[in-house]
Parts: sequence; structure tokens; C-alpha cells
Amino acid sequence: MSEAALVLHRCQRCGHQSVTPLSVCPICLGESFEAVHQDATGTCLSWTRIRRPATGFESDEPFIVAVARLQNGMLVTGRLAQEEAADPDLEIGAPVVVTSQANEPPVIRRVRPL
Amino acid sequence: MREVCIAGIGSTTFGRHSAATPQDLAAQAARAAILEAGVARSDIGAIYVGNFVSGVLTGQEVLAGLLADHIGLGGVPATKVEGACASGGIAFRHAVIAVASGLCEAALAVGTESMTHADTATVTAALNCAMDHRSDGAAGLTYPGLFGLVWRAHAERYGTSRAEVAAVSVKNKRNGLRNPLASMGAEISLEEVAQSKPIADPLTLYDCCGISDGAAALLVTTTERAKEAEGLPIRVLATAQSSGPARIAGLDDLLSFPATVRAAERAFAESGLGPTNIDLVELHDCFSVAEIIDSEDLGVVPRGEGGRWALDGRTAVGGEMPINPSGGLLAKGHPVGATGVGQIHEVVQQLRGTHPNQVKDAGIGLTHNLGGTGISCTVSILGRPDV
Repeated sequence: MSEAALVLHRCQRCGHQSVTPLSVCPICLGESFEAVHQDATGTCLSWTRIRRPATGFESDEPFIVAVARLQNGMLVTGRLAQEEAADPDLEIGAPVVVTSQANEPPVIRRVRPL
Repeated sequence: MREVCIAGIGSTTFGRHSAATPQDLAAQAARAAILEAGVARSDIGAIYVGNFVSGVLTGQEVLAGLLADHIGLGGVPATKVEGACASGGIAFRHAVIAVASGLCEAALAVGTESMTHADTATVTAALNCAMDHRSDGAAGLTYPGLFGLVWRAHAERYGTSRAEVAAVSVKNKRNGLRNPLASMGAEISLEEVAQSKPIADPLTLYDCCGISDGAAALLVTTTERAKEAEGLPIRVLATAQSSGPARIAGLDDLLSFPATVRAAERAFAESGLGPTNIDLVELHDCFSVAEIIDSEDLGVVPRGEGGRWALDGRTAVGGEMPINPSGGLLAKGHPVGATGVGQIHEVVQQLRGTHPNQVKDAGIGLTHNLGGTGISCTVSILGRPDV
């Protein structure tokens, strides 16, 4: 998988795609899925800085949870990239790219003009 | 389905009950509801208990059976229901169905929760049991965080200001001062809300409901049997329940919870009423901004204007659409499983004309109880018998 890809779970029967792994397709009740790697660009829908995390997340503090709307319309909840968390002047509607991480939530990064 | 009434109500204060177990609190509330209704215990044919996290926080489960045994109703079918923060509303709906269908002559709906003995991080993690651990939960999102996301999106779309959001907390905290069941009422300013401790940007401490213990109970019975009751019986005009998307990815945007919209549509259809018939609302203000979204989803305030209405006093007790005259979750606290039952307890008092923060001539009231990231919801509409 390319580094800048989001892993989606695609139903092999009807093509429904989900960021969250599923065992049964909510659209057609199919039960076979394949992982597809997709370049996922979109826009920032919202973000928040979590200052009082739940147990298990204390060591991550401070961190920012953001929601991105991908170009295909899907919403993805992820973490704003750590290197951007100190300066979270993230405007709603700003272009972002979303990437999957092994055993970690998706990472959302701003796309900055070159 | 036959018509049913709420003939008896009971509630502990919502606040700190460090020495009491959730089943103790439930028994106290249930006792009061049974005695007030004047219904023989032998007529009670079903018990539904709303509770969310007693297993996680107290290590105690089977609360419904424990309650039945505790109040001398061993042998009666006793069921715990769980739908996150909507657990209490769901318990009430099941009690209504049991009586309306003719399954039994009277049923008890109880909600209970004990939380204050645990530290905030533990409670935050327990509440996160209502989040999908494979998506939103895995990202480290919390419930204050969810409503921080919602707030920013609402402000971007509608220009909602900090003062408009804070106005909800100021109003509800003030309402709570008049309600002896609420222990978190206060007279605070818009500035004090904005300057309180940050929790999940832009939310601060006074934008959040407090961790609480408490229980509430309702005795539901037929109109005929309700004639024996001590207080005025209140008619159940509708009780609707819906489910919604399991995670943020299932929402269209962050400005509406489809479960609320659906439950409200069903409740209005069932009762033949609309938002303009409603005299007061007790809704799920787990956070200040949640009241804004909820009031718009219910249709009692125009879309995008929830904050403006709060700041302008239009949702105050003397306003055109009083919202949370009890003080809501912001002033009562949120003993999760008890909240939905407690909301109905408040509306029954309003419709009897006996509420300590009375809405003048209240004839029809609506309650709204929302769970998780909008995964479960109940909306109930109650009416005074002469309306």
C-alpha cells in the first residue's frame, strides 16, 4: 500500500465502502469484503482539541480529533497529524488528506500550497 | 392500543449519593411512584429499568431483578434496558407498551445510575462505551469532543456565537436554582461560562453537564385505574423511539442527529400534534450546544437559530418555547440511566401545575432523550387530561 492511502473495506457483492471494518454489509447483507487502498483527499468538516481524554488516551495528550469529508462524500474521523497539533488553526473547508495507519486511527493532514 | 396515564412519579435528587447503590436509589424512586399512584403492587405486571454503566462503574448488574426483589415485586418480569444516554426514555416506552397493549394493568419505569464515586477519566471511559470503538472511539474522541466538533460546524454554517452557546448554560443553570431536584443550579454570566476550564475546544466546563447519581420512577397504568391516584394523572399522547447512525461516518453533517428527527416525526404523527402545540420541552442538553442542535432537530426552534433563541430569552420559562425549565442536564447533572425518566418526571409536574419553576398554563409537554453519537433516541409527548 502506498504511504498516502486510506484503507477502505469494500463489499464484494454491491461495492459499498466503509472505513470501519464490517462483517456484514448494511446495504446488501453480503459478507465478503476486500481492502482497497485509495488516495483520500477532502476537506476539514470540523475539529476539536481533547483536553480531558478518557483512560487509555492520557499519554497522547494534547491531541486533536478532526472529521474530514472525502471527495466521494464519506466522512472519516481521525487524528490531526501530530506535527500540526501545536498550531491547530485549521479552517473548516481547508483541504486535507487522510491516511490509514496500522493499528492506529486514520491521520488527517492539511494540504498546504507548495 | 388503549390510552395510558402516568399515575405516580418519584425521584431522588440528582447529585451526589455516595453511600447509595444504584438499586437503593431505584428502590427509593420506585417506592414514591407506587405510593403516589395508589395502585396495588399486585397490579404491577412489568418493570423496566434504564441503566447504562452500572456494570462498568459499580460492578453490579441485574439491576431490574434486584429492584423487583427490593420492593417486594419478586416474580414480576423485570428487564433492564440500555441505550446509552437514552436508556431511561426507552424504559418508559416499554412500560407504556406493556400497559397500552393490555399485557398488564400497571407497569413501572425506573432509571438509575451511580457515577460520582469514580474519577473523571474513568467516567469518561465508561461513557465512551456508547461510542463505536473501531471508529470515533479509536481516534480518542470523547463526548465533550463530539460536541466540540458539532459546535464548530454549527458556528461555521450559521455564525453561532460564543455568547449564544453560553446563553443555554446560563439559562439552564438559572432554572436549576428553582428546582430542588437539581444540585448544580447557579447564577453565572456568559463570561464565566466562556472563561471556565477548557474541556474539548471550544467547550468549557460550564458547557458540560455534571457527573451525578440519581434515580427516577414512573408508574404507568390505565386511565381507569389512574383515577385512584393522589396527583393528577397525565396522559401519554405519544412515545417514539428510533435508532440512528452508529458513528460520525453515518451522519450527513454534524448539524443534525437523524435519530432525533425520526423520533420527533413519529411522536408528532402518533399524537396528531405539531411543534406549535407544545407548551414546554425537556430535552437532552448534555452540553450547551446540544440543546441548540436538539431544539432545531425537534422543530421547536427554526434551523440555525437555536443559539439566538436562547440568548434572546425565547426559550426561558416566560418565553414562547420554554426549554428545560427544570435546569436540564446542565443543572440537574446526568445520572445517565435516570435522565430520560427524570425528564418525564419534570414534565408531569409541569402539567399538574405543581412544578417549582412552573410554565404558565402548561397543557402539553415534550421530552427528548438522546444516546451515544445519536445512535438511540426517544421522544415522548404528554398531556394534561383536560387539554
